[in-house]
Amino acid sequence: MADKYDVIVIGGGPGGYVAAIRCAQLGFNTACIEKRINKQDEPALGGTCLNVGCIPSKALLDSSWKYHEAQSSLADHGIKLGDVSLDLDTMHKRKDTIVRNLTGGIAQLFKANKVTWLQGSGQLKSGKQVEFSALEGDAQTLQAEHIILAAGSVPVEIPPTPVDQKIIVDSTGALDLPEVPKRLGVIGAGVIGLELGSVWARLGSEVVVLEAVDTFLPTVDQQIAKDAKKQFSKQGMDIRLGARVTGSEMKKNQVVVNFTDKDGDQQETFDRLIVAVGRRPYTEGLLSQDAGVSLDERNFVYVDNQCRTDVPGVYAIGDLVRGPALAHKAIEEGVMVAEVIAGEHTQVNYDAVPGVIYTHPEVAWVGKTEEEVKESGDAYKTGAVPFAANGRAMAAGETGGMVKFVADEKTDRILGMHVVGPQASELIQQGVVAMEFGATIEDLQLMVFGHPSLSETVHEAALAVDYKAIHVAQRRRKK
Amino acid sequence: SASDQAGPAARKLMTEHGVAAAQVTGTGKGGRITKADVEKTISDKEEKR
Repeated sequence: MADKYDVIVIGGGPGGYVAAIRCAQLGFNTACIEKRINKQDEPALGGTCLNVGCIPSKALLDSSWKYHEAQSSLADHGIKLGDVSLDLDTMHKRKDTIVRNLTGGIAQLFKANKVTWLQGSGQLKSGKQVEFSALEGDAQTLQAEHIILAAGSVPVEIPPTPVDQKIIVDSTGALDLPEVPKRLGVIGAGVIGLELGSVWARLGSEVVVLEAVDTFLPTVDQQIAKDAKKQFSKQGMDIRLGARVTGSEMKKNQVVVNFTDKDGDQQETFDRLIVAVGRRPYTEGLLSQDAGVSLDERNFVYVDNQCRTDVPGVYAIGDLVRGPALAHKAIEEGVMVAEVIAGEHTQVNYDAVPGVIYTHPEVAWVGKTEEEVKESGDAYKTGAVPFAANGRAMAAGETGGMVKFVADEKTDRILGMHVVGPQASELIQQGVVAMEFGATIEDLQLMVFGHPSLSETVHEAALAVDYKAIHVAQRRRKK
Repeated sequence: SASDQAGPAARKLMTEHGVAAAQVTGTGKGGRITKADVEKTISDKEEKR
């Protein structure tokens, strides 16, 4: 094993592995350090996203939705199934197979690109040195021209509800519950809490979501958030806002959770409790005392627009640094840093990073919310159109939700797109593409959209901004 | 052609005012022509008259 590389990446998650591959493509001798051991006791690449995040949660979301459909809505299509039963073990095994195939795929990509995978942990030292402690074998010091820190994040724990990964679990434990809890508590009505709550609610749990903040999805456009909350509540998710958890107590195989809300002290008993209040940058053991890399007040590694740390030649990307903790954000930062190292002028457009919640219906957004634009004081216009007016949505039996645009009144430029509804995760990319090309609302109005398609609701929402929507009754408000 | 340099709204405006893509200075990414660029070309032309 060589002890000198052009680039060493610490962390093999979406940011790190992509950075490593892109560096290799650009001709750098690259190593990627990753210490994760998966459920099968094998070293695994892919980080949180592939192993215990995006991918396994989507596998369970899709499986649980099919189960829910078979039970509740296939009869509407004239399909009778008789008794529908759940085989949770098979559902988990399917998810585990998907995860293993994907993480194994990255190892193959590393081989094909000649990226050296160093199995173990890495610590940044001064003078662009990395101390590598192998999973098996001794520690050694490695040297690199460039070092990319991509150590990711871990779930935030809160003192009132210590995680034991049995009764009280974090997002990782929530992906592997051995049976469907009768009563499930979720602390945190963010992306993770809502997705995991949805999975188990569809499989039969009575789900109560406790959220400390008074506003539902405060960073999402509030017209969209309100519609989403209505739909989630209809599906049986009991979302309690302004509910602050103060303590918990184990009673046999249950947990009693104490919380306060506007009505005073409350108590709920759950068979399982998921703690999903947020994630924090994972810096433990990453930096030696003399590494020279500074952290900001929230413990993120401090970086500039192109992810340079305070130390020349040392970069940091992904959940370790400011910005949304999203796989695609980490990925693009990984690509950017690799290209910056190669002397290119790549930049990430942080103004057009889409966000998605993979509930049913899905929630997705890009750009500014109406609240944000209103606060900026600029003149703006909006248009929103429900999927209920869309033929394709009716055919699919998925008529809940809407598409909404926010645009600049003067320039007509699209400032934000917001969707709650079927395939929102796919539809939102139309907004991303449009915004990347500096499109105006009129640009979208003038395009031909295939019929019948869910995308027509995107078209109609763009038309609605200027009171030109065809399939909804719109009356121009008098100014 | 104009279509690979400008979006539909800018193209429409160019057609409306008889402006060719070559007459417009694009300020968008990679020299793409925005609607505002076309508007500027049109107002510059009118000023000259």
